[in-house]
Parts: sequence; structure tokens; C-alpha cells
Amino acid sequence: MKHYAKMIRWTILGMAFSGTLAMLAAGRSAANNLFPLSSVPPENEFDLYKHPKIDSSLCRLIHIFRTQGYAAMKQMADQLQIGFSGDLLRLTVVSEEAGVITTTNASASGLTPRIVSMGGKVETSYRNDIQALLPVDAIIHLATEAHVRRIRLPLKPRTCAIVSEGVYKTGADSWQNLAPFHNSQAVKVAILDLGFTDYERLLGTELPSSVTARSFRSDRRMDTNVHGTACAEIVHDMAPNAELYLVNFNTDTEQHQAVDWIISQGVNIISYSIGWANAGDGKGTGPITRDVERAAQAGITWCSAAGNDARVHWEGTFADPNSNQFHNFPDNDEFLEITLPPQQELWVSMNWDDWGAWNGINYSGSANDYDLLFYVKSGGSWSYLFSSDNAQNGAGSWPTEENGIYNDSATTRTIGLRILKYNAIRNCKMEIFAWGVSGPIEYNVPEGSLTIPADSPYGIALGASDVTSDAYHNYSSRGPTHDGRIKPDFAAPSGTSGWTYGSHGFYGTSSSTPHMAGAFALLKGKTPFSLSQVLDIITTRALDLGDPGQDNKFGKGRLKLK
Amino acid sequence: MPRKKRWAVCHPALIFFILVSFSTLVSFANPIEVQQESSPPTTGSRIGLAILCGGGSLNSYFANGLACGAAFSLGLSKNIAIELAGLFIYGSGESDPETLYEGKLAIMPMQLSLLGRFPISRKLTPYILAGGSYFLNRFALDRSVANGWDDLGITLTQQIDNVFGFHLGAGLEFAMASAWSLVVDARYCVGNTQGDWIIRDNISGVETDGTFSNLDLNTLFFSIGLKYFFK
Repeated sequence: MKHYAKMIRWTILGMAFSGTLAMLAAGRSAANNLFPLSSVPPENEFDLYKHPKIDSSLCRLIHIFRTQGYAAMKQMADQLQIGFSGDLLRLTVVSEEAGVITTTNASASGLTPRIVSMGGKVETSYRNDIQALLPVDAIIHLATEAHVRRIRLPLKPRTCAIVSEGVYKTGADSWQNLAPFHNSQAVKVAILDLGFTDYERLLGTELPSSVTARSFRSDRRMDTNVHGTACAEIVHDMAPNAELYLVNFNTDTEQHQAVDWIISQGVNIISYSIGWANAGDGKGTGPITRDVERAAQAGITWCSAAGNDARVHWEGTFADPNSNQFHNFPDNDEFLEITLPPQQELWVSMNWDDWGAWNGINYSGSANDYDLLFYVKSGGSWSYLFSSDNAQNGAGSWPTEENGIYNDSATTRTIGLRILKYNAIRNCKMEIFAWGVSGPIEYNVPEGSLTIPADSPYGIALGASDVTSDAYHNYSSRGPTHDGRIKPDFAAPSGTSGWTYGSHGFYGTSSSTPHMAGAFALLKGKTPFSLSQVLDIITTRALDLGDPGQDNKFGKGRLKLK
Repeated sequence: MPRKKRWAVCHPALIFFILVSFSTLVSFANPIEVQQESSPPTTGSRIGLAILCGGGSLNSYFANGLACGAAFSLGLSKNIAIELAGLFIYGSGESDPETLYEGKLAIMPMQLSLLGRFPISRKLTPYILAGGSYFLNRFALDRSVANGWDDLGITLTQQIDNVFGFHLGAGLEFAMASAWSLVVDARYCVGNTQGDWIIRDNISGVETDGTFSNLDLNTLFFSIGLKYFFK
């Protein structure tokens, strides 16, 4: 009985084996019907990787197929992500009919039946290009067709995934590879900015697949500026698992509403690459800075750009040795000169240290009245243009003046600023920001050039260090605050690459800020540490640059996570 | 969140169910035949020592692991025995965000069981068992993962508590000689424990800790072994 069972088993095995052989033979026979082995051109006919019609990459595949077999060729193709459908290679046949570039689809040409007869299949075509599937050993035969001009692999589309160099500079990549430890939760990061143009196009590539977008502009538009999109890119690069909230606004009132909403959404971190002038006393108070305070009270970490105004900032105490009511800059010069290129706008903001008491809503106001006068230089002398002369009468009036000028001429113009002590009982400490020019402006004072709300004690202010050299960018605003605190708190990479601004195209503290916000999100998302503990960790690890210890450029150091 | 391995949930239960069903069925299907035969050599008031080895499935976040064990049994009657067993199973697993991080979990249930033996011939004795367990547990972080954190100056620590549980099982003894039997055994151990964790940044000294609970230690222990009966 056992003997019979063994015989039956061997018989079945033998049948299976011979059946397999028969199937293989049949397959080989079918292939032979298409391409008799004797018709395959000798190896030297296509000179390995050089062929007048076949691209080198395909020649390489053919060579490996011929010398090492199908499996080796397929393995290489898979490694290089070369497209196959079953055993057929996807390629593009560029046809040429008597040297004429056709405007109709080439599949109508005589090549389609030829491709089919070779065991291939035409997938689609456009003008002279036929996208086809073909056995690898048929490519050389197709190339002999008179109408074939070129056979190549289909062009490879690439997603424009650009990762900020700041990810590697800061060591964030080392954290990204770690699995979250114990109940670390997804972190919500709000990018509070002026606009998020094109953000939809980047979903799933430069940004997460889905984000929460909300406009607080009166027109509810999100596509008002690409700046926010670039910032969001960096946050996503730093913390790929963070949940992003893209929130835009255009005015201070809209910002207050936006912050209310962000708090209501349970956001953990705000990335704020925006700066204001004349919006507070520079001592951490004022309506804009109040938003930072409110967010902090809700447990939100607020990262602010220090500003890019170190070269367009002046500050000093009003001095009038000749008693003509105009401030004297060094050398008794009463004009602060600013070079304004053609077709460019200059916006000048001036404030002085007479804001009064801040009650959480408003300042008590200034009773020292100064004015800002604008001049243009022509023929070596100054011509008066206009002035900003708000009334400072103490009734909640802010100690601010501001106005702008657009150079619509074809030549560079020299603008002069004069400070007039209109009605003041003391010489106040004056501050001027000249926005719209690259600077440096005359009598430039980089110190104390922080914009609002980088002065907030409740937020983290970021200066800009070069992503390559670690040098502090000369435009990057620096402290101290007007009450003498060291700011910014940290420096972070600037001059990074992204989809929005291109290769090494995103400079400024606007670029640095989302790196820090992303760092918070990354560490918070990977560990059970609280945000205040994450701040301690970031502080300890920061790379001390510039003056030893904490300073008014790099703060506690350049962001470094590893 | 790691996805639960489906088989790890259903497979142990299925095997356990089949074994229990089978042994119960064969035991009660032939009661007359059993009574007509004399007692098999593996039953009665004898002390046995079984050495077992096999495999097992740890909880759903941990992969299958090798298992081994030893069991002393004391026959109280033809059909009843008590057994003291120590098992060991070791498996590596992926991170469970609510309990353990990536690492290796070793559990050693010490078990006191009551066996119901149902000999169906002189050679073949199916049995079922149930009892209480005390799980001795140990967890070690995956070295390569821990190194990744170490490189960043972070130290992770996790430990889990020992805990009481219970178990059910079934098996077959096949008498090969008067003192030796071949044993095929499956038992499902049920336990649930808790533990604690610490994460410390060695650079800043920042540290935080916490506890976790509800770590499922349910394990299917499947083994084959040899049992020696003392005279």
C-alpha cells in the first residue's frame, strides 16, 4: 500500500514537472515565432550603450537582458523605478514620418501594428510620441523601423519636494527618524501670516496632505501673499507630522480675531514671521504684543521674527544744540538721508519713548509732540515734500508719526528726514524705521531694531543666521528691547530653500522663525516633554555664537537640536 | 499608531478553542473504553517533570517569540493532577504609543494549575488545565532605537510590573515508555500589567516621567516536550 502511495506521489510530481516544462516550451515557442533567435542582431551592432536611435539607458537594459538574463535586468529596472507592466517595458517611441513633425497623434502611423506584432501594446500617444509597452528584446528590432527616430524611457516626473537646509543645519533630521515616545501627541502649529498663495498646490508635497486654512481678512482671501506658504513649508520640513493651521489677516483688528480663533482651536505653537513698527513701546506692551501674551496664557508657544530692519533703523535722544527745534544728527546734520531707488516705496515710521502707561487696552498717551518732515534733495539742496504731524496731546494719543513716498521717477532719489520738536517738554528718545529700502540708511543704529512683537517677554524672538556660514545676517534686527532686555532669544537658519522662493531664496528672520516653531513642534511631537521643557532643551542645546553667552544678535545661540 | 496584527488576536484564541474542543471531545466520546482499560502509565499518583519548548504569541504589539518552560506535576488521582510550571517567552515588538516603546518583552508566567486528565488509551492522555499565574516581566528597549535617542542626549527608561493572572490550556500526553511521555501543550495566559517610564535630556537635565496601565500580557504558549515520571 505504501509502495503504491509513493508511486502515485512521484507520478503527480512528474506530471507537474513535465507540465511546467511544456508550458515553458510553449512560451518560448511563442516568443520564437515573433523573434527567431537567428534574427537578433549581433551584440556589436548596437555598440553596447551607444545606438543612433535607442537611448543609452535602454541600451543598458538590453545589454543586461542579453548578458545576464531577464531577472537581472528586471531587478535593475525595479531599483531604478523604470516602469514595467508585466514583462513589458514602458517606453516612448518618437516617430518621424519623412522628416515631418506630425500634428496628429502618431498612433495613427504605421508603427502601432508593428509594435503590436512584436508583442507590445500602444498605451497612448501625443503628436510624434508613442507611449508603448514592449518586450525588452524587441526594442532593437523596433529601432530598425524607418519611421522610428528615437526610443527612450518616458521622462520622469519629480515632485518638487524641497527640504529646507535648516532641517539638517539644526539636526532636526535626527529627531525626525525617531518614533514618538510614550503618548506624544500630534502638535498643532498655526502659521499666522499675511497670505498663503498657492498653498493648495503644495498639499501632499511641501505641505501636509491636509491643513486647516482660515482667512480673517475682510475679503476672506487666502491667496494674498506667498510669504505664509513659504513659512508653512519650513514648519512642515522641520516637523512633518505637525498639524498645520494656515491663518491670514491684514490688519491689527483682524489679527486679534485670528488669535482668538487660534486659541479656540487648541493650537500649541504659533509661527509669526511678521513685524510691526509704531505698534508699541518696545518694552513688551501694546495691542500686538498683547496677542502674544494672550496666546502664552493659553499655553501657546509664540515664535516671532525679530525683524529685518537692523540696516534701516535709527534711534537716539532728541538733541537740538542750535535750538531751531530740529534734531541734530551727528556733525550737526539735521537730515537723515535715505537713498530711494526708482519705482520703489519708502515707508517711514517714527516713535519716541512717551507712550504713557499701558492698561492692557491702550496707552495713556503722549503729551510731547514731535513731527516728521520729508524732503527730497535736488541740485544739492533740500526741498520740502510733506510731513507727518499727528497731534500728541496726552489723551491716549500715541507718540508716533509715519508716512511714505513712492519714487515713480526713473532715477534714484535722495530723501531727507527731519525731526521737529513741535511741542515737547523733554527731549525724548526717538526711533525711526525706514521700510522699503535695503539700507543701510544714514546714521544707522542696528541696536534696538526689533520689530513688534519681538519685544514681548511672552514670545520667542528669532534672529537670522546664515544657513551655510552661521554668520549673523547684517539686516537681522537685534536687541535690546527698550526696557533693556536681551533679544532676540535665539537665531535660526535663514537663506534656505523651498518651493515658494526657490533655491536658497528665503532669507530673513521670516525664514528663521518657522524653523524654531517647527523645532518646538518636532520635539513636542516626539516626546512627552511639555513646551516649557522643550524650551529648556532647546536653550541648553543652542549653539553659542557671537559674543560669549547671551547677546543681542544670536540670543542664547543658534537653533541646534542635536 | 501601530496597527494590531489581526492574527495575533484571533489565532491564539482559535488554536486554543480547537485544542480544548478536540481534547474534550475525544475524552468524553470514549468513556466506556477508558474504563475498560487499566490506567495508563502516565496517570495516577506520580510526579512528573516536563521540559517544554515551542513558540508563542505575545500581545498584539509584540511579535512571536521562542518559548520554553518546565512543569512539575503531581497526580492526585487517575483524572486529576496539579502542576507547577514556569514558562518563558521572549518577543520583540514595535512601539505601543500608550504603553511600551520599541523593544523586547520577556514574560515568565509561574503557573499553578489543576489538570483534568482523560486517558483514552494506555498511550494517549488528553488533558485540560486551568489555574493562576504570576507573571515575572522584563522589558528592554530596542538597542538600536535607544542608541538613536542616546545620540541626541536623551535617555529613555521603561519598566513593567510583575502581576497575577490566570491561564487555561489543553494538551496531549503520548506515553512512549513507562516513565517517558511526549507532551504537546497549549495554554493561554491572561494577564494585564502596568509600568512606568522616564525620559531625560542629559544635556539640559530636563526629565519627565509617567506611568501606564493596561499593558496586555495575554499570551498563547504552544509547546512540545518530554515528560519524565518518577517512580
